[in-house]
Amino acid sequence: MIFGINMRIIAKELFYILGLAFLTYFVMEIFWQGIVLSYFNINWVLLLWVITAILIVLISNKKNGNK
Amino acid sequence: MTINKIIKFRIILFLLLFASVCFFFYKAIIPSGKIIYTNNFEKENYFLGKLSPNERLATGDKKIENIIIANPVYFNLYTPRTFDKAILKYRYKNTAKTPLIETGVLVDKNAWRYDLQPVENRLIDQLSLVWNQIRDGDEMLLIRPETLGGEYGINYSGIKDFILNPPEFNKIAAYNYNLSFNYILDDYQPSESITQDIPALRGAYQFFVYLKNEDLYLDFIFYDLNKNKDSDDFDIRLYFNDELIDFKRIEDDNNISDNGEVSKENNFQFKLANLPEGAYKIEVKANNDIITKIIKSRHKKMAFIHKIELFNAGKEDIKLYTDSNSIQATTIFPESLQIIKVNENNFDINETYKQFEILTDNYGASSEILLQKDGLILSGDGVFAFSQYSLINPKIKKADYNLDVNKAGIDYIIAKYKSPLKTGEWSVAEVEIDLAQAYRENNKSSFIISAPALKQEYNKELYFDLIEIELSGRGLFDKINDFWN
Repeated sequence: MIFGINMRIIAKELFYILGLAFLTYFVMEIFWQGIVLSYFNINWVLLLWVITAILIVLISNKKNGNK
Repeated sequence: MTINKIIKFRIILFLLLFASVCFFFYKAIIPSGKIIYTNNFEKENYFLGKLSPNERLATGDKKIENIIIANPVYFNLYTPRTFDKAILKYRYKNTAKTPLIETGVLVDKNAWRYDLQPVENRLIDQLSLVWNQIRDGDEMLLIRPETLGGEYGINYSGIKDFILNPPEFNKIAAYNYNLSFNYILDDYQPSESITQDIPALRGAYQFFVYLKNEDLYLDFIFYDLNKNKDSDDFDIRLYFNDELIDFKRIEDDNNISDNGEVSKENNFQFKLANLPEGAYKIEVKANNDIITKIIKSRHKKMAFIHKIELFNAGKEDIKLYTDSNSIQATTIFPESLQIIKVNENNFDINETYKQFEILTDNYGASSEILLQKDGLILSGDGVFAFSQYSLINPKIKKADYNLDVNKAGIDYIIAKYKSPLKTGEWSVAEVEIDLAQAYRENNKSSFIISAPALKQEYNKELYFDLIEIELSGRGLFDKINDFWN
């Protein structure tokens, strides 16, 4: 908990939405080439998604260690 | 964190995702139908690609190559949807004083044909300072002052008057203007005998034939090299006064691979009766896999327009005639390196993939070209024929850097041309391009910047500061209206 916010829940929510965003942008790119990539590199979404996944693992490990 | 807060947070995230999807669709659809893309050569632009190839470019004070040192260069334009029209705006410095700059969009990938429009034509710019001129919007008529009477040396009331009552054919030059002439040869007599003196040709080509009280008779033998992937269907088109009047399609040999298996020979006869007297243009729109082995014809006048690629079939001692002022010769085959003779002058074609330029300086008269062997690509600003009598050029001379108006006896230049605006060393040119016929692949169109007199060895350059493209097409509401009506 940081400032009363459960970081694990936040990271989990971000993990789901970033995964969904990546998938959505990927499908959009397949059907309409350049629609996303012309404005934004979707690799950033993938990178953030991986970071949130690592965060979830780290927070879970810390929680289990405290027990 | 309560469940309520988590749901609120989740809703916000989903709304953000939905908003981003809406944003991308909005940007891709471009509901207004208008958009401007700019390349100032400071940072890479996804829509307006870099100039290429790198070997013809140099970097100045910008971060991206913006100096053209050799001709031509290309750039791609990515657009998420189609547009009808583009207005290209170039801000550039013509330190090379290159006499002609043109730009255009790729319209035919097989023939590698760009629809070129003028950016700067120094011949017209200079003549418009000393010759009399009549302007009507972008159209202009330049008249040599000493040739005509009238108060201001002009005896045409307007461009329409000039078109209705044109002077002699050989007194006019045109630039970016389609001036149709009823081209008639008074002393022409049709022939009954069939000739086939044309060597094997590769890929696309166009030629003129002259018909008078005779049927069109052309008998082609083609075969397919199958060296490139894709289907090798191709068209033969017949034009009269630049209007398409007949069209034949020749199907592929059902081998769409690049296995190099040469197809069997395919005979095709193009015959058409009851054609009025005049010069006709035949266009063979084929890719480089297609070889025209033989063209049998009974037409005495037959001349190839601007470019022919002689296939390396082992033919020797080929004689051609041209009315071009400058001829370019290139070969990609080491065995086709040779000395070619143009009007008794020898030119050594001693390097593959290099374009050699030969100036004939004949201004309308014919030049004789003697080739030791085939395998050459010949191009020029006129036509090429395989006998002197066959030479025919019903096209009005082009008013560009190849034309010397005094030597060629030109008294009138008709053009559709807008001079670039000049501020000091800088020029700003606006060029309108019709995108309806543009070739698009992967949502990209290819553009060319052509400055034919700019050559690497001259150490001259064309400095570009800005390329801006204003695109316009049908808006979303127009499309919805069309759908309901």
